[in-house]
Amino acid sequence: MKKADQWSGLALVVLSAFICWGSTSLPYGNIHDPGPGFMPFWLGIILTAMSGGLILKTSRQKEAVKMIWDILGERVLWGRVLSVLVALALYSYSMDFLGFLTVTFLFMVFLFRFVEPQPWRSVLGWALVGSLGSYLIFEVWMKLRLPKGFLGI
Amino acid sequence: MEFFQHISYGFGVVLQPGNLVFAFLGAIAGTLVGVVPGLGPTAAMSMLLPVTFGMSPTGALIMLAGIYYGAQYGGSTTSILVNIPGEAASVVTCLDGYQMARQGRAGPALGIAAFGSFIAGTFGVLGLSFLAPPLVEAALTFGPPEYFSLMCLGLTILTFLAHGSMLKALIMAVLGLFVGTIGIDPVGGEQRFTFQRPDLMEGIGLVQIAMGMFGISEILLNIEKKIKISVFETKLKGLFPNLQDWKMSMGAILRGTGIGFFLGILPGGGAVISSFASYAVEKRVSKHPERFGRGVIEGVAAPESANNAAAQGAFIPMMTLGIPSNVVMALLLGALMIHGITPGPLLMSKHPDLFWGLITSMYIGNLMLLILNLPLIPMWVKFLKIPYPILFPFILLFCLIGVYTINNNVFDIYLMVFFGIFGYLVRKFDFEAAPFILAVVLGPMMEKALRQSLIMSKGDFSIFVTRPLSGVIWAVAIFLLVLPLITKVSKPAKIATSEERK
Repeated sequence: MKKADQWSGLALVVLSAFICWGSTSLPYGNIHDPGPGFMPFWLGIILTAMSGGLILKTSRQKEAVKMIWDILGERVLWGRVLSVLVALALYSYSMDFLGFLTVTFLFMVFLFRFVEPQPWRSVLGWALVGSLGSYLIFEVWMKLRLPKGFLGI
Repeated sequence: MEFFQHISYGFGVVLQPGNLVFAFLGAIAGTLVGVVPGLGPTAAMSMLLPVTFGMSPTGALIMLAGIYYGAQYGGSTTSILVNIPGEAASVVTCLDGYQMARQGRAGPALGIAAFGSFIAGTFGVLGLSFLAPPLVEAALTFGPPEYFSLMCLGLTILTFLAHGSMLKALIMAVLGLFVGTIGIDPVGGEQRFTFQRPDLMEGIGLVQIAMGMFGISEILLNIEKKIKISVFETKLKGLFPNLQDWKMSMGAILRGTGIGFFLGILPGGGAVISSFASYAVEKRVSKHPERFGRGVIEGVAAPESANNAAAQGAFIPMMTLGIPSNVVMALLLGALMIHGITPGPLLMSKHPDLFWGLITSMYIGNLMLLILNLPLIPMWVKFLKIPYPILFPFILLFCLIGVYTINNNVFDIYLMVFFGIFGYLVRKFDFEAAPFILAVVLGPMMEKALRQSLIMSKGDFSIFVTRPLSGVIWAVAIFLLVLPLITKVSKPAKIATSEERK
């Protein structure tokens, strides 16, 4: 289990088992008149076969293939990836409460300052341009309804 | 004569001031996303889809289509000046385009890319208007078995042309078909894999998936490494190719147009593959193939014409059959359905304004791009100089606003982020996103066609091979599936790239 596609294959086998299991609770119908469970069930079966095939093929491969540590050990700035994901989660979580304008401003400040740090002056400047600009375009001009939050803006 | 009637009717629609403005906006936005690396037409179209909700369906489609072919133009600019393809269809343009720029011939390279694209776009539109009516007539005779077989063929071709392993591409397609089943069953009304969440009842929207997998995951891949883009500092002068340049590229442009258009029509084909194929063909017919890769103008003219012609050709299966041949067409199809229009053979007779207006808008749009693109190139280059740390928060913000405003629902943001992470992992493990997304769109249509066919045949699967047309389609699909097993045939895309590495 050192090759990358043995792991992806395994994850897919688990997923396809879930698909098959989930579709058994749906009416299968019959071959003359297939029900809602028909297609997902067979997709699950096909996916199991294919991901099993992927594991077998990768295990037998002799030539150089991508190893799992090629992916994990890559020089990846995980901190940046995670901070963007956290920012996205916090953004969507607090959007209704804080309102579009406030949360967008904070979101942009965070991204400009903490992912690849910019000087504070340009952080505040760009964040203001981004949040106010998008507010004016989408809320005022295009009249799309963006959440107002407890401040009412 | 009918042809001229249709075309003049189309021009009547597109020359209305409102529609002209939409074509213009679309073309500009398209060029911009084509120029900016890390933002392709797919993400841009999904972001702007909610903005089109308030427009007329014709205006909306004209603008979204403009983004698509505009991006083909914009992509060439970054390929030539920075050696970074602004979007996938311009990858091959880098090979000779960047070399030309290094030799101080960035001007003619950009010029021939723009003129080649215009010529190809023009022929593409003509081909589209000639071929669409007879195809519509043929499509009216199709039943569910034919539709099912055609969609299977489309997915097969897409996986056959995939860059990496065909098995992995097939896995992605099957996974996409499964995601397409989430929501309420189209036939019986049963809830499937919704976990009792009302947000999932209508299924997972294409926009959420496309924006996640092409917008968010792209950003994650870009920020995980330190990248520095340096624009090749050169004085842009003489954008007009000289007589010698024209002589050398005319054949390449015409061949590129032909290849691009026909590969564009194929379900599963499209701009990317046709640009590779036309480059390979040019190299083969050239008297001096060894000079390819060192800055020959044909090496820019051919793929740039091909990707534009393919962008037009891809409209044929979407507009006549209602079957999208690539992810961009799938998004356009989604846009049509949001506006309450069912794509398919009846589109031409039921909504002639949309059908012919869209076709002629591409002609007008190509003309606008030619006039716009050449003088504005210095301005586009400025966009290239925006550092990525400043750019990506804006791209993220537009993704967030775009996905939120579809339904004013935060759940859509969660979905987008989920598919962003999924897309990120998938690409790390060398799987492809395109077959997945196309399958999500085709899934519900395929299931309906399959179930209807089985009801028609009383459960007999032979209906798919005994009906002549469906049988032929299956023969082609099976041939493509078996081909990699019996011979180690490399794929066209691979031929082009591996030759370059030598």
